[in-house]
Amino acid sequence: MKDKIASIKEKFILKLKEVKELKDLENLRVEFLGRKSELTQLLRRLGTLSPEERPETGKYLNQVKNELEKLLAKGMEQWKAKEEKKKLKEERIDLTLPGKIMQRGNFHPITQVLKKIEEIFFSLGFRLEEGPEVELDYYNFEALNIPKDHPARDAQDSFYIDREVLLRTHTSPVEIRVMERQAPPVRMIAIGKCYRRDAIDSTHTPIFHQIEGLAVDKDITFGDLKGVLTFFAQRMFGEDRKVRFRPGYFPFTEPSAEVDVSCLLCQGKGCKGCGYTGWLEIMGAGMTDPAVFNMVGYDAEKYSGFAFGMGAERIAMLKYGINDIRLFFENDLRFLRQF
Amino acid sequence: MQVSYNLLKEYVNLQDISPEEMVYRLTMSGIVLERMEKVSLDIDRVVVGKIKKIIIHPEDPKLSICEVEVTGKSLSIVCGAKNMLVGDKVAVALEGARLPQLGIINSKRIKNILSEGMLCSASELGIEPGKSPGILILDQNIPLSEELKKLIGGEDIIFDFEISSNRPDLLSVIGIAREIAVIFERKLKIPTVEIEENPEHNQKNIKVEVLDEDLCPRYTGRVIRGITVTESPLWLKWKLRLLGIRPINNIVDITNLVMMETGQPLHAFDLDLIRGETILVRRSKPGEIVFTLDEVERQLPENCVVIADKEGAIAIGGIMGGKYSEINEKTKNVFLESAYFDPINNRKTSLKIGLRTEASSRFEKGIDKDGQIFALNRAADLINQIAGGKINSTIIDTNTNLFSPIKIDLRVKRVKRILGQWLEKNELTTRNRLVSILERLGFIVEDQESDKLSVIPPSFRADVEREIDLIEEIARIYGYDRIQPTLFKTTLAQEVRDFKLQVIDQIKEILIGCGLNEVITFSLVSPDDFNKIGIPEDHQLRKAIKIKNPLTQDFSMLRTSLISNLLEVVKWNINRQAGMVKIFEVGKIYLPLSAGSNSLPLEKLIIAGVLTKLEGGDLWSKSYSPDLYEAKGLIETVLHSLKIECWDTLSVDHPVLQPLKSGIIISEGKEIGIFGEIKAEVIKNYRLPEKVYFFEIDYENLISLVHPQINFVPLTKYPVVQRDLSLLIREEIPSGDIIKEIKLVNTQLIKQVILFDVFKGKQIANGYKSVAYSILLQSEDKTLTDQEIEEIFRQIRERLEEKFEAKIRE
Ligand SMILES: [Zn+2]
Repeated sequence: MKDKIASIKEKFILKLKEVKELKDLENLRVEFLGRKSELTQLLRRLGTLSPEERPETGKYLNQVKNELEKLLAKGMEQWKAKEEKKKLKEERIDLTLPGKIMQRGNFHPITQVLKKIEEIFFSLGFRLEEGPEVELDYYNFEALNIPKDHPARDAQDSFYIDREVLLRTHTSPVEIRVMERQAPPVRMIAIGKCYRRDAIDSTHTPIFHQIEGLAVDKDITFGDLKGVLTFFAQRMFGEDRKVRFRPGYFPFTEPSAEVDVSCLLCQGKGCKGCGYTGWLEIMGAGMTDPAVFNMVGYDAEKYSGFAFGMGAERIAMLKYGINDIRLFFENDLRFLRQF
Repeated sequence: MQVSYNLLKEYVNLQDISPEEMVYRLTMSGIVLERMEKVSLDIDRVVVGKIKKIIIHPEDPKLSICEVEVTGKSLSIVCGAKNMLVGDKVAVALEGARLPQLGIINSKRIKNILSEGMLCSASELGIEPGKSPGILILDQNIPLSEELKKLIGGEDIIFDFEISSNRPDLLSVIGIAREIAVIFERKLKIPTVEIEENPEHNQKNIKVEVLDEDLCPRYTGRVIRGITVTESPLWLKWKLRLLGIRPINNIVDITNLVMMETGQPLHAFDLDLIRGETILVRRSKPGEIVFTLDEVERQLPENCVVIADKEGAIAIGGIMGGKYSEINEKTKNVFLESAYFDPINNRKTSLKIGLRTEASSRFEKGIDKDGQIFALNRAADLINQIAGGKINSTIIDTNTNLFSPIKIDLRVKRVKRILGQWLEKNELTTRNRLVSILERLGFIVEDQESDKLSVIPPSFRADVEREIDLIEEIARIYGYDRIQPTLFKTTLAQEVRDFKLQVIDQIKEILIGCGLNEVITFSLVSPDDFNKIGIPEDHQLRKAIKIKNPLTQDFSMLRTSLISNLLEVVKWNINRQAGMVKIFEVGKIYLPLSAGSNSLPLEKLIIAGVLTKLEGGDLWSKSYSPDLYEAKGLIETVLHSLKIECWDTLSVDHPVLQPLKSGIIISEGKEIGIFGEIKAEVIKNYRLPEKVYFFEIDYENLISLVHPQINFVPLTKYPVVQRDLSLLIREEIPSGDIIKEIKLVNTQLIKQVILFDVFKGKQIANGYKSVAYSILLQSEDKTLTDQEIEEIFRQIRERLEEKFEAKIRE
């Protein structure tokens, strides 16, 4: 009987080698391990053996059966993997087809710049305030120490609705409105659309966005103005930027300053972009003029403060190297998607 | 203000100061360079010659043949000019000469006559801009055959400085030189004027009467007799060239030179053309007319200041002289005017008549209040030197205390309080520094030992009136770069941004996440935009706020909706081959308040967007196109994201949206948003090829529904049961109503009703539709039994059958 078992095993191994597909393996299982298989029949016939032979033969039989099962399982595994592979190959997946992109939109570059500027000033404790775009002449000019017939009005040619109402030319009126309703200390920024009567060209649009800031307290100095705005300029344009302050003129600040950063294009060496000066002007600033404090009822002896203002379009143009301000308002998707 | 390096040298020693360093230090003290230009008289082999003979060209009477003596030879030169006489000294370009624009000059035949060189005009030599009327006639005393290049300064650098409106004192060469002298701690050299005066001899006596002193607080003048009007000498022409001024004749050129030098505008009248003996300075009469030097007849508005003789106005004071009394080649006697005109009135006049001149741009900012006599004498002296004549001893001066010095207290401690530091080691040394800076700037400092200095500003610094003005001067000269940057000494704890402002960012973030691009457009629109989007004449949206002084019609009104702006953006992009445009803007509209309310208009923040797509696209996107429900869905996405759960949709009548394809979303009684398909005729007006869907959210109404505070609701442990329900119902019954009705059956247990199919077609009876819903049931405190679920469904079926005559499909 033992010989019989051994020959079954040999036969199995031979047949295993001839397997062509997964189905053949299934047939092998039925043939060699199924209920009608020789091995099963031999198992049933174990009882007919002598008690001496029985344990040994039984053991052998089980051993062979386990072996066949193992071989079969291993074969199954191999064949399954093979067939899986074959099936995949037949599917012909083209990995170069485009992925299904969930196309996300973009913040407008001006919004992105404004957000960045906000964040920097938020980190210094400035609060965002709002004010109207259609504004009284009083808030836009007079309270800012720019009476009627002041030459500074020329530089800010305005759109008027009627004699006393105009489209604000800067965000500075928000300062006045905040100071009127709130006692010092003040630390605020205002952001929004401003209007000037400029014809459209590559550096002018009748509408632009401005960021205004104001800090008033008992001990604010010109040194603080320099410190805060240097901090801002380096966060905005890079820690390695040099920042310089030079005298300027605004009716509502005194002393007044123009703030420059070293040119981003030529690293300060001088190029066409910076007019060969190595510097780019980014904003105007200054210590709040006592006349402005008088208008809002602050005690100019007790309090001092500084204010600053900058154009978002200009900042964005410098930051991204954009050469035409009209691009911001054309809203060409090819432009918007670059940011 | 245009000036040159060599000109400045006449007033301040610039030794060891390079032009670059000078410009840098000026920039750092507040004077910005706008333009810098190297100039040189780019000429070679141009020499002084003398005209011996002039004959007419035999073939062309417009040309002359001049016989010119030069370098020991006699040359024959053909010339087209007419202004030369025999005996004149002229500039001769010899064979091989070089001129700035014409290049190399060679002998050539001109209509069969050989011209051995060329007689040059001032513009051909580069001394005068534009085109000179004739050739340059030189001074008789210039030596023959001298190289012209040697007669003029040669190389120079022109600077054009930007001067801020508060510093009119810098609109002069002396003003710029003073600033340089202060910065580099050098001495300012002001030219001395010594006049040889001559008493009057029973000649025409001129008087001045100022009738309106408010407009002209000071008028000075003097008479020079027996002058000769000619072209200016070469050196003067060259100086004017450096200052950017066009030469006219020697008298006018001198008044211009002195204006540029001192900042005091001057005017010269032909004394003999002044009718009568009295010059009146007065307000213009209504309808008064002046024929000005630029040959324009100007009708003056009221309240201009005019200079008049007995017949009428002969000049607009401080702006421009009149043609009638102009200096001309026959002028023998000159009346020279040096006055101070009221800045505000000057500016108003200049704006009203639309004329701004070198003179008016100085008067309107306020010139030196005590500089009239110096400039008058300086000009008289130069006229005397250049044009001859005799200066009358009488000086007319109507001055009544125009300049009264003021004293300003300057607390040394206040300087530190504002700037944040002492300028020097301590208070004492800082005080010395302050005194030194102020004195160099021309201020008088009294009480120099006190901790409160008393400072008197000079007559040319009307801009300095207060302590803070002095501190600015000090900081400016000391150098902003030497002030140490510091950060706030205190912190300020406050919410940096209102909740409302945070929500705006959140909404933008949501829409961007949905694939829309943010755009920013002009809030000014054209009246035609209202026509293009088809707003009826009397519609509310037409009541836009108008700009009183628009630049163009295109930007003459404030927008009342974002629709036209967004459609323009769609058009722009479609025209540039964009296949799909999905955009939104968060921007304001401006609505007028009712008349007489005497307050500012209503500025409303709106979130609006449009969606459109052309046919085509890639593998995945070609089958996609935005539709009405996407527009609606965007509003609903915003609502969901902001945790607003309940709203209704009604149809709406909107002038820009297709009827029956436009809806309004209402929540808690507030109109939150509008959506719909843009009308076909509007699409046509913008020449758009496809359908465009629009949505709009009213930010104020939306924000009133957003809760700043979120309260956690515990999650239930019990399972959700989902059952589907399919029914046959009349076509016109809105799905929203069916869902509402289903929910009403058991508002506690029915959590959600989801529409998953709508079908109309062959198997469905005409006028009917098949709709199918998934209904989700859940209890917070137990697992629902089959009987309970069946009971709810029975009620739903009953309710729908009763309410809508719905047929339930099994
Ligand atoms: Zn550069």
